[in-house]
Amino acid sequence: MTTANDYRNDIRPNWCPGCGHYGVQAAIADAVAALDISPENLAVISGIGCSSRIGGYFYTYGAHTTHGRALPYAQGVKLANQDLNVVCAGGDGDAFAIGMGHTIHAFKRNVNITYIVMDNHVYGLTKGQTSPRSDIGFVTKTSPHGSFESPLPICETAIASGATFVAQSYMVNRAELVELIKQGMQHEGFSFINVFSPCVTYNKRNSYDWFKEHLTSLSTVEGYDPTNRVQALQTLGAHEGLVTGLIYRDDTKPSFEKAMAAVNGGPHPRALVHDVVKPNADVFADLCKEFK
Amino acid sequence: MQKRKDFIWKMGGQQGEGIESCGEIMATILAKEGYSLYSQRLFASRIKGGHTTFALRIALEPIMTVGEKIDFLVALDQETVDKHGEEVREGGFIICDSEVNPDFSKFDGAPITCLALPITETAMKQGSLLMRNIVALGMSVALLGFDKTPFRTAIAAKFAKKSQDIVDKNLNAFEDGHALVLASKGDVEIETLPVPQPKDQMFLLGNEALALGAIAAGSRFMASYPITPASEVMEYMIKKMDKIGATVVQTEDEIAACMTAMGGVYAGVRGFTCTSGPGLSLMAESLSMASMAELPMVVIDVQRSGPSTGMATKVETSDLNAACHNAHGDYANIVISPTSIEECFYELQKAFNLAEQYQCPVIFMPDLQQGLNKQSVPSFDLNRVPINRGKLMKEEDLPELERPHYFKRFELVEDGISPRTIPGMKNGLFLSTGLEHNEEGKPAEAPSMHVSQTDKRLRKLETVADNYEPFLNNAKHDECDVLVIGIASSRGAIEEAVAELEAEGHKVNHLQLRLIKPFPTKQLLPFYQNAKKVVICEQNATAQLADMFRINMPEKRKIHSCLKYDGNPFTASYVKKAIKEVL
Repeated sequence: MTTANDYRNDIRPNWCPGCGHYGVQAAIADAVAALDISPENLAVISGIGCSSRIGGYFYTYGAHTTHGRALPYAQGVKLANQDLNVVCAGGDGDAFAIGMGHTIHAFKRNVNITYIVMDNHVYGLTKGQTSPRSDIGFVTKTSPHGSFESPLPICETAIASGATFVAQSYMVNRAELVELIKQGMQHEGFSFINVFSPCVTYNKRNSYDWFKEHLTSLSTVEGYDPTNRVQALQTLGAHEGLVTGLIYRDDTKPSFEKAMAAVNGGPHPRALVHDVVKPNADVFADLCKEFK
Repeated sequence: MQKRKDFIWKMGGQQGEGIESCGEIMATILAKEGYSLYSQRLFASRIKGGHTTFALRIALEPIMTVGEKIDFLVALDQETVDKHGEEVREGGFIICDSEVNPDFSKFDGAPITCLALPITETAMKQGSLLMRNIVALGMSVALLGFDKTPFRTAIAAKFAKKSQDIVDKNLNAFEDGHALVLASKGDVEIETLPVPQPKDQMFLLGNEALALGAIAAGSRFMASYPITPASEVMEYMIKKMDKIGATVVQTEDEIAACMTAMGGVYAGVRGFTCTSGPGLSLMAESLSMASMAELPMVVIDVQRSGPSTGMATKVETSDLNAACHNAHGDYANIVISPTSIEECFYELQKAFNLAEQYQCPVIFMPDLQQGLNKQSVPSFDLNRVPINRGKLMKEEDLPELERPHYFKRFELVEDGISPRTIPGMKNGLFLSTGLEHNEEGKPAEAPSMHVSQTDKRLRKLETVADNYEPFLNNAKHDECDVLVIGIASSRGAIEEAVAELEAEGHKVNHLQLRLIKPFPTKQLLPFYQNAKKVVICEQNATAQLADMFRINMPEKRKIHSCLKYDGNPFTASYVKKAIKEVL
């Protein structure tokens, strides 16, 4: 039986005291332990940013890649070895600014991985600049007169782009977050979990208290049905995106792997990794014959 | 009747008129008969329409260029006559569709035969404009003096799936075309090629050879983004996905293509991507990480004319500097260029091996001329290049690992190449990062660690040139008047030029470089020192390859450059002229 402790290494995070990311890290460890995934069968892939250092903070296979490109990398890992559990994690700058092109395509591609974004509405590693999720009026070093670009409505964007599992949580609500990560990892397809994770150093506006005050749990919305796409979008609109819980899921759409297996005669995940071998001689002869 | 060594046939018209398929039918049959073939398709960078030509050189000996003077030009429009008529050799033929009332006045008095024949009309007689290329095929077979039988068989087979009626109509179109030429050529003698020994050959694009090479290397994982002139590689892999059990992803851009393939590589497959110059630029940051994280990533760059969008359908070898240096930092990688379409198959497999043996990105760079043109090659041997995965560990051989220790994936070993594990291996846990790291992959910024790990990554490459044939050695002389060095598709033109110069009594050595980085200084030195003159042929304006010699060769000497950057491939006469200038 795997425990969260099995995922502890001896690296001290470079996060500030009070940073929300500690809670997200703990929730991921709790979730993978609860699912009894052993460290060698997990890969945590991250990009660049404070939160993206998380790839190195678990005792597992961690890959800390380039800024905004963790998702393509994570999808490659999963498609190469479908036996692995792949969690991709990072911040809102990594995910929704430099990496947004990949994020949208990951929503629509539906590879069976889990993407956890630690959303604090600000750039921390570069010491306080505006992010695609910053509120209008948010003052930072790069928005001294207040941010005037619209904050990206990410959950609506995810649903509109074809995401099949969209959830949002607040790292303070550990039990809910652990449960959502578990559900996401068990979902057959791409699961996206946006987690509010306050930055105590560079975002004094969206503080712990601010989130507590502004977030609405979907469990309090009467008759909420996460398989109802229209209701999901309406509810997000009504609350300016500030809801927590499972927002939307669609179990009818096959994952990329399943759809691909239907056309390539798969699945061959294990074989791809452990069988880097010459193709069958007859198959190869057939391929060559077409050029003769 | 005169016997010749080769024929050059060219057909031209508007894109979409079946010009290529006419040439293809001819080539497929002749390849079976044992002729050596080289084809060249020239087309405008347009979606549909525009002037296009398909040239086919048919020879008895192996060839690697399409040659220069045309024997037979088949024109479906006046533009073809105007643009290519002057390429026809003395005693050659131009046949143009009488439908366009061709103007041959330009060739009045020229020693060539110009015929206006009813190509369109003959096709329409059989009921369809589509048969123009079959009429043209019949004409061409008559002009070239080949036996009709295998062509009739091939036409019947090609249309057998449709209906007997269609087969008959196409055969009639073929026979009518054939008869028209014989009836109208007058007393002009038709020359023929001797019939060769049948050979086991394939006739294919360099891009198809690349895809087969990747498959033969055990790669069944590709992520790519469409780009001219490289898309055929991904298209082929996707077409054969079910047959070979491959996973191929068309990603949202080249950065994602590179990163997705690298994710696969990290997970243990032989992932690769295929692109051209603009895509290679986008991959620069990812490749820098592959160098830092020591990932055996293979990137194919089918080079086209640049900079920027340049001339997307024209050839150049101007990505040499980019392939070696486009990634930031002290970047360790390997750069290889194949010297032929055949090498697109064999050398690519070696590139996959080198990537895993040296745990670094490998840029494999053919050029557009190789990628997009078909050539006959001896049938591929699946087993000539065995798979070598370098220091990839087996799970059962890994010693017990105790938390919080990780496997020393970046162990500072003498040759710089550390043992490698992949996710899923029980005692192989390690951290992978683009940050400077210690032996376990943990971020480490101590000055000594950065120096040690940098040295390790660079030290790895010291033996590449010893473990890989760094160039094709066509040097026959211990001492030579001139050493000619080329890269990529220039090989064919250089070999023909060298043969002519040798016949004229000059001592000419030729090397076609494969390994560009790390530069094979030691291996090149004796050839360099034993030459009176050095000429380097490359298709770019800035003499990128010559500069690499200037930087890497210990001996400072005059290097003559033979450059071409008009978008068209080298010809033997162009190279010969450049060499003669220095002799």
